[in-house]
Amino acid sequence: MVVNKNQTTAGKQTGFALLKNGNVVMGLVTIAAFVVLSVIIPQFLTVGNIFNLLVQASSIGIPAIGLTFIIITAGIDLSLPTTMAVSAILGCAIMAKTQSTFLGVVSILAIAMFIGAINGISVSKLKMVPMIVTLAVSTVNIGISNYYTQGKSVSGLPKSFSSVFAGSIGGVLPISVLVFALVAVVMHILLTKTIFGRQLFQTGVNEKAARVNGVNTTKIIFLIYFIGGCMAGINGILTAARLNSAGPTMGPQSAFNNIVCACVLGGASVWGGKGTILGTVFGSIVMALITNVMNLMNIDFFVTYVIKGLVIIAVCYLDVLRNRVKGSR
Amino acid sequence: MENQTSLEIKNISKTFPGVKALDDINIKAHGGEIIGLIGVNGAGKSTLMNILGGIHKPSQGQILIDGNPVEINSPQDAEKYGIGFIHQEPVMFNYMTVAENISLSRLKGKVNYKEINVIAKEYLGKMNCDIKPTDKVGELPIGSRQMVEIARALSSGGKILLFDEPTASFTDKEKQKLFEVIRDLKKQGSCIFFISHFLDEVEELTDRTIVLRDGKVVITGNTKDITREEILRNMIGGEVAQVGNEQKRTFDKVTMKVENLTVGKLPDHVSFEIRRGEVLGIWGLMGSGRTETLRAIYGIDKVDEGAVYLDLDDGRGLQKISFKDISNYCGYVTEARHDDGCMLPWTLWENMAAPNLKAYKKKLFLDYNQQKEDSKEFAKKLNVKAPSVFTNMSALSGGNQQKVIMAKWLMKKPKVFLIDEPTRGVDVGAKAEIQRMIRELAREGTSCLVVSSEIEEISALSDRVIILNRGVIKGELSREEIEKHTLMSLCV
Amino acid sequence: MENKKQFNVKNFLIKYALIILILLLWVVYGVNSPYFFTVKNFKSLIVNAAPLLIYATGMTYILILGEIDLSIGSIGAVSASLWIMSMTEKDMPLAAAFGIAILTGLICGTVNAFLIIKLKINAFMVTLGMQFLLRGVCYLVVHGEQILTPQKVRDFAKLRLFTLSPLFYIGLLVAIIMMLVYKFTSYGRKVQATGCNKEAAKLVGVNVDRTKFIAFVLCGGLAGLAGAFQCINVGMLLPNGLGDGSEFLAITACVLGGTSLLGGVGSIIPGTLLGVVFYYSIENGLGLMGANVYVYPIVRGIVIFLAMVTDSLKRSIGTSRK
Repeated sequence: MVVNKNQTTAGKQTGFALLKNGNVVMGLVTIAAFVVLSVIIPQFLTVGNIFNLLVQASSIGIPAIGLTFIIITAGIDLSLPTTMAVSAILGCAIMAKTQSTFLGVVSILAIAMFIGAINGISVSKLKMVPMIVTLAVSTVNIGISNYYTQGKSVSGLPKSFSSVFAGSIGGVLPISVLVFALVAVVMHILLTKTIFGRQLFQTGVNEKAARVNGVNTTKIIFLIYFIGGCMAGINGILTAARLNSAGPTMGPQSAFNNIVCACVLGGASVWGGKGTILGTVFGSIVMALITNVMNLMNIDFFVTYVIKGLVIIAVCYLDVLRNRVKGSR
Repeated sequence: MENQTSLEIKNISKTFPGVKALDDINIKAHGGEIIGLIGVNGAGKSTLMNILGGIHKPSQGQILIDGNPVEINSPQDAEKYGIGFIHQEPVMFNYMTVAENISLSRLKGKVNYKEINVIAKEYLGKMNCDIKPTDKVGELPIGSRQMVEIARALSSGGKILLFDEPTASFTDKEKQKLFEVIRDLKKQGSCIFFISHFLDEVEELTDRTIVLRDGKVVITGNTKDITREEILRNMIGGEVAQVGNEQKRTFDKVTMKVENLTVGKLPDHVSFEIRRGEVLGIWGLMGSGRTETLRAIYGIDKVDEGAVYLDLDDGRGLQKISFKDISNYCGYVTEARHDDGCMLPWTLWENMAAPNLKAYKKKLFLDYNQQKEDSKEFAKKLNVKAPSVFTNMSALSGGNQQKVIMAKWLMKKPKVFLIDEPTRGVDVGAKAEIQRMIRELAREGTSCLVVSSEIEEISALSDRVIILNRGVIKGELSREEIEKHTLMSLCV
Repeated sequence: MENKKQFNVKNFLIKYALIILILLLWVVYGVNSPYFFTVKNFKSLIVNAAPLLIYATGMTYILILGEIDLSIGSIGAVSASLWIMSMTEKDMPLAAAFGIAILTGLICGTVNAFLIIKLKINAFMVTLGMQFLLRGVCYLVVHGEQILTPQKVRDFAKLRLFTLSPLFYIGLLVAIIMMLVYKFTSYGRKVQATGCNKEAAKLVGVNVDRTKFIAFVLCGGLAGLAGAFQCINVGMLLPNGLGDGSEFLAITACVLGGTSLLGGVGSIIPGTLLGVVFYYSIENGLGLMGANVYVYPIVRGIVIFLAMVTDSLKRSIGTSRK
């Protein structure tokens, strides 16, 4: 109960109540992991590695923030990674032709938003099943990406593109981490402080009651898929800048798994009605952390698969237990 | 008629937390008899049937079948003892065939379609039904689905058949067909319980009538010996409820006009007006289209025909309002609190603020402190009993939940307040409070449109009542004319 | 009256949309490529389709129950890796190796079923987690290496019975058996009843939990077999590629074949079988027409999208009847 309250209110809590908050526990676990790891692995706690970790986290976390909005309504968007790839490829092609960074960036965003809008209309207006629709859209994305590039990458981008979007402030703070933080703050405010956010939660908790409360649930559902598209676009800009090129391999379908795991680790429930941006940010850091630590410790990468799988199932089981305690009250 | 079925219900009581649903019921029944079971909502009819059908367990008492005491712990037990339960909403598997639906509970190992089709045909034939065993149930009209359910009960050896308001969604023809079937079954020696709201149905069909009130059998006797008067009096209870003793009020301005409202068959061209400060009751039984009317007005269900006009107090008088905007000016307490009335996992203040977010927008952001303050104020005003507004909705009793739902709409200051079943599942104390609250609201100038299945409530609350039957307005009564018997006789 | 007739035509079109689409597609292909309507071409189409048919057969049960299983591709990979290792390392005979593949699948399915039904964790999340986990296990089994299929497997794949590969017969046999189980046993009927109306199923005495449990185990076992078949078709075991995305392909084939994601409706033959054939004829025909390989997914995505539109139309007809 209390957990739920914390996730849906902006109320103040103190003491013991804080411990029952999923976010706080998640945060504490993350910090504890950081402390332990920096003791065990000497290379871990270096500025370079931490920012490297955060850059990895941002490429999971930005689309995961979009997916959080969608999961709150019990929806799903499988097309997030491929939307990122196709928008980056087409946008970069425009950028390479015109040598205009501005035009390129705007077109990446516009294409991603357009794809988000298609998903949104299909799910909200046409009432199609989110999983299959977004899978179909994703398949088309993959096709277009490959067809356009013939399996290669788009390069020849203006220098300013990567120097701005893959650069860093003062040579320390990478732009993508900064953008991740900004996006997280803006989306957190949108989710917790605005009418849209409250109506989104109403739609997720009880769609029928939300309609009685005067919420235009169709509009809300459309908007969240649209936002998902935006996030994919932002991620596309940052990733393309980092690679200084754009190709079909930058957004494989399987990347979706990391994204949804970040949301679920952060406390979002696939039944809908629950989810926080802060939690998702922690979730994406944990997902990046698992990979990062395995790299540093020279553990075979496939062990990370096993660990990620176990973590997902364990977290979901904890959620079941929490709900059971709630139900027995 | 030596070895015919007999059923004896002996001293059965059933207590739900806080409510005594059944109180020492004794009924004897035997094969070849149709027993009509009537009573108002909450009289205990369904509880009794659910005990026989194995869905509830009795708190006390015994059930004897053919003289042997039996324990019915599950629907399967009921089936074993030959009790067939025909539910109000058919329990069906829409994508499966008629034969599969009939035989499903007895399937073992390999399915022999020939055999189950023959079984289906045999039992449907007993009822003179020409439903094909291979048809998909989902494609049948609702009346035929009921026939399939009866066939299922018969095929599993059902000798005691319980019909729980089977005609609620029937056409007249389907009803006559069902009655023929039931009479046939009686001739074949079945013992039949028939629950209905409709007096004429009970009079037409049954041999014996049992009236339940407040979980007790109040009268029982041969149907032909009991007058309609007697039944009505016993259903409702001896004394006539105190109709509020305030003087007749007069109303001037029309705040809402509903014109030819039609959604399929329910409601069917419904028109009425409601004036400022008036409480307009809509009285009708289940399936009369009362809830559907409110949903249509509020813009939830798509309307086929009709319009709603509102006076927005902007000097322009009645204005046609599009259905998607009506929710801006009205409040709507829904019939099913947990289904679409509130956000159960949320706190009180969150629930109260949910429909009123626009009022709390300060520049771009929501002012949560103001929401909490206002919620506290309204919770106090409506006497919500909860530790604080930070309590979760799910932790409250039904009555307090209902008050919170009332409060969330009052915070909106609606022009017209639509209230469906204001006190369903609410304890006695809260019930009186909620009813007083509605009267007070009206006195302060809010127009209230109230639906209730309780006669007492409708007559205590309303300044005027319209009577709805199968989607059509059957009559209208002013406050002085509201009398239980007239109400009942207009709609049964 | 006229109105009613029109309604029926529309109904008919929607009901048989898939068959009509397949026929249309075949006509287009047939006109454009003389090789399309050749026995040889259909043979290769059918052999390629066998693994997906087996995956989708198990998935049909799961979807009819209103559940989902995203782990079948990884189950296939783990089973195939044990299958191949049992032959290369332990020199087991082929039949025993297939036994191991199926057994592995059954065990994975049991784990899924336990987590979903006993621990009551959401099926989507459980099977997503298992997808990760089992992919990792697959790498562990083969030490992250690609392994060529041994000679006896290749000999087996070259066998011909009436000019057709054994994969074809086994795939079809599995689909037929599972169809018969679904249609003609009490278990199959309980599956559909549970998917149609869970509460009603409980009322008539169906053990809903057991029905679901068995379905997840079965689906796992079939995925194990399908994984080995995929491996045979490819000619080697690719720990990263084998079965990757097969779960979504299987769901797509089921949905194309008329199985609803909301449960209750669906069929293996003709439904899922047609879905699989349809899916493969898109690619096969495009290949014969000399289309760019990269166009395939575009066409495929658009076709799935269209199929989903008919699905939502079907549902809207279903509700208007109520």
